[in-house]
Amino acid sequence: MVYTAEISRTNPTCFIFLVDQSASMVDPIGGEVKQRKADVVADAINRLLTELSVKCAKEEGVRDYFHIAVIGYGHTSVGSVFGGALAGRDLVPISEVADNPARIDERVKKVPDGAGGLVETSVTFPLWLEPVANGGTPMVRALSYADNLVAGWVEQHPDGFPPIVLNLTDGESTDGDPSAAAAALAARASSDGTALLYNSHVSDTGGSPTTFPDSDADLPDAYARQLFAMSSVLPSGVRSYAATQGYRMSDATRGFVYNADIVSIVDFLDIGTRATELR
Amino acid sequence: MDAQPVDRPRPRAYPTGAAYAEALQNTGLCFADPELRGGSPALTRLGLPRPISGAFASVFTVTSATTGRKFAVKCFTREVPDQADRYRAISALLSGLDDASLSQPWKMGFEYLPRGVLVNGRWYPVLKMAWVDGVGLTEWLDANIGEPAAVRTVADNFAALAADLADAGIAHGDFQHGNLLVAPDRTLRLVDYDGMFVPALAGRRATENGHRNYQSPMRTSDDFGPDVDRFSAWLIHVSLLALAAEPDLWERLHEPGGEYLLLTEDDLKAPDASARFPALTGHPDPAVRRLADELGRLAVLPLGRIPELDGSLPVPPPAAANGSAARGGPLPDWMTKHSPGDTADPTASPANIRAAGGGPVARPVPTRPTPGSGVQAAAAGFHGRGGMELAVVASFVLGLAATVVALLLFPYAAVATVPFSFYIPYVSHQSRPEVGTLEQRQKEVFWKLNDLGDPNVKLAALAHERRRLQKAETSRVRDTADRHQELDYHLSHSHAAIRQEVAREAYPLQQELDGLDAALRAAQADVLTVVRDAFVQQRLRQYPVDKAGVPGVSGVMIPRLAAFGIRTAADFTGLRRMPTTDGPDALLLVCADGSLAKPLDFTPAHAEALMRWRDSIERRLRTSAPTTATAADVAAITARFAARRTHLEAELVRYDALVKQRQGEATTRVNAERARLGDEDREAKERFRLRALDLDRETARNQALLGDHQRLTAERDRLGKEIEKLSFARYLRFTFGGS
Repeated sequence: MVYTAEISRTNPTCFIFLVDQSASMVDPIGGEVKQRKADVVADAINRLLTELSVKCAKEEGVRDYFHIAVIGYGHTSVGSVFGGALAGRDLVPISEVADNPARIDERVKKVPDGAGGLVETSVTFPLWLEPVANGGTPMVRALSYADNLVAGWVEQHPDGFPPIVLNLTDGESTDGDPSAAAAALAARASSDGTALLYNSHVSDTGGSPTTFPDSDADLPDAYARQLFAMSSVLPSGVRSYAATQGYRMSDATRGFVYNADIVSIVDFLDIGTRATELR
Repeated sequence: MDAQPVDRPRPRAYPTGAAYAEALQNTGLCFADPELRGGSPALTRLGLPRPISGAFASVFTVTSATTGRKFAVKCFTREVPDQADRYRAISALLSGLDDASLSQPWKMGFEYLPRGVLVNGRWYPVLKMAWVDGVGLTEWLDANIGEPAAVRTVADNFAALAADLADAGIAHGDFQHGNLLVAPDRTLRLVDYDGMFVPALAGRRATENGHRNYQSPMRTSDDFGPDVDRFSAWLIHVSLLALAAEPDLWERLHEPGGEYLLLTEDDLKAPDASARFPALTGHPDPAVRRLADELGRLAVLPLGRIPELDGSLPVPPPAAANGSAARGGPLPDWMTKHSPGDTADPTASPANIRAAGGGPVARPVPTRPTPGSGVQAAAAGFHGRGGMELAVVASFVLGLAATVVALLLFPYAAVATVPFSFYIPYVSHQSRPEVGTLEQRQKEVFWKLNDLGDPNVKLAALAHERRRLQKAETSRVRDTADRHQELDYHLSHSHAAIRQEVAREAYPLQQELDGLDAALRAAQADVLTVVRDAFVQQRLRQYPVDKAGVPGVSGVMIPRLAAFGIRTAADFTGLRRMPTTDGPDALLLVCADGSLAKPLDFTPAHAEALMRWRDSIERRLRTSAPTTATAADVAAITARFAARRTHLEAELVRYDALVKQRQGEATTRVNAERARLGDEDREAKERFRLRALDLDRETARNQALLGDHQRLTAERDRLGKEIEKLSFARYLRFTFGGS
């Protein structure tokens, strides 16, 4: 009964991305590659949206298995960061998202040629979000914003796969302790389970990158531990799939990554139509 | 299903769909196969390679730069164990199947390329597949549901395809609408052989369980053999046959865009609670009912006991396109359908008007010989002067002579004899047989025409009434379908609401169950604390509050505390301060189960004293509690958790049963309403059928009378002209002039 609802056109679910756009996001993340946190987060969102579009692509075009919101929070306000045709809209069907990136970027990339050498090739990719870093981190307001969207969604889709909220942040909320807002959001439920809140923590504190931990013992700071505590335990279907892909999973594993790739979260979603669990 | 921590090395992760799409931006670099290298991928609106994604792979369409041929290139996003082996075995078997021996060209050519596509410097396998032209089964049904005969043909072709697989001893593994493409000639193409079973793969495990809406509830991942398709085959075949018999089912049971035909996973798993199954098992057509019952029977059989698809079941005839016409053109079907072999204008002949509902064909009334047609032979004019004419001439001559004589004798009286001279010829004219017969005929024809009425007027009225009737029936059928849909919608909503409501209640239990293993591990890691706590808790029970000697906690207070379950030091664990409306804060006892207790007249002083008493006992007990944990302690903890798990699981099962029960009740209510609607519908259909039959018969009868009417009208006109010719003046000319 829990997290087994079919995700289909007639039974879509929603994906809400919360993007920290505060001033502290200009700092580089810890680790060898000194990337700005804002770049890491924007890149993750753009790749997530690309992956979701590809995942929903069928013969006749992109099917609306998901409705997507990308909510930014920073100095100006909390709200949709979509531009162009999607400007100002919160939850948008994935087919429209796929067709309406803010722009298409082309870059020359050095890629291995498969024979031990490197060749230059140009690669084109859609961008929905530019890196932004400005002002405070109103994470509580962002979570409440998402909570509103989630509440509306489960009202309209009482039997669907529960909404998934992914918060990408450096963790330092400036409008109070986000735990209560997170708990309120994660208590919203469809008949298939409560809303899932995942967190992707980009941090300059250092420490080793961590993917889907089941305890906060190895996390480097209080922000990371707080975000871990706010994150939902991964549903069993996701855990068993992730386990087959080589991730270490226990029944306490949470949807949390620390300075690590979050895009694989998309691959964990079984859209459509397969008999997901090996019965 | 619990995923235990895995310590095996991570398998090689496959690229994501988006990574493949990016690699395919440069086909000169990413492909090694000469035919694919440099080919043109089909593009999205954004100009990027256009994927078609499934659960395990993304497929790209690539047109070869060298040969111009079109391929579907399947790039895998998940690892499939011993994939190359499997494809080798499948390819070997399929290439041994002679196309001529197959019912239709359903086979798709493919080639497994281990060095298929280069992504970020690594080679990954691809499946290079011949491009197949065809339309997915659900899209095809969307477009062709109004043609029951075509649906029936596809059903038959599907059965033949399934028989081909069975004959070859193989199974597809994922029979479903997306893998069955319908070609323009209505034969099928079978695609996606990833999960295929061929005898050479016997003993391996299935790589997938197939589409969730097409599986027997009994199918497990252990099932991998020639019989894995059987249930899906029956499901598809029965669905198609039912649709051919009753096209309205598509609108009623298939949500637009739904990833199923008529029934979903939930319907198959719980037919009793299903919103859709009863529409088939309670169908007015007994053959559809039988098929649905058969399907229900097969759904509980182990796969191995499901028979191969065959033609042994009675099959409903395809609907003679009925009057609903919801999807047809502006004309109702009954007006446009031809009877077989009919090449004439279908609307012209009444023979082509079928009674709605496929009833008997209204035939034209056989042409009867037209009464009085024999007169036509009579030529116009007088023939054969007889004695009468001679007498007339004689009398006329005599009369004339008499007149002359009289004129001479009595010139004035003579005038009176002139009319007399004409009287005799007049009487004679009237007695001529030509005149009598013709006037008699004219009278007969007049009365016949009068009796017949004008069929043209009647036909116009009938056609008007027929159109009105058809319109009313079409809108009634549509309303009925709407009401069914409302019911379906209402039912699925109440099912959802029931699930949601129960899930909310069950959720804390589910969460506790999910966390139970973690809690157990924590308890095992800290056995000593658990053991010591248990020791203390147990000993605290040996200290009754009435022996506490706490001032004020005696006499009447003892039973008052007992009323809250507080009898010993073990029965409360702490204090909670609570504001009161009318005085200083109250101090309440926290009971062992977390509830709060404040007996009458129980003061903060009492509470604090009682707590001090309990704390001092606990401190003392802690000094004597065990300092090491035994294996028995560990076992006890484990047993306690196991008992809790059993309890939680039983509770969840109970909740599940509760959901099923309540949903079943909701279904029963809706089914009663459905049955009532069905009865109403049947009655209305029958009323419509009878009325339409009446009208059609009446129309045919009037069509047949058109000939009579025309002939009679012509006869009347002709007789009028004849009688004109037999005028008195002409008679005089005839009598005297002989012409």
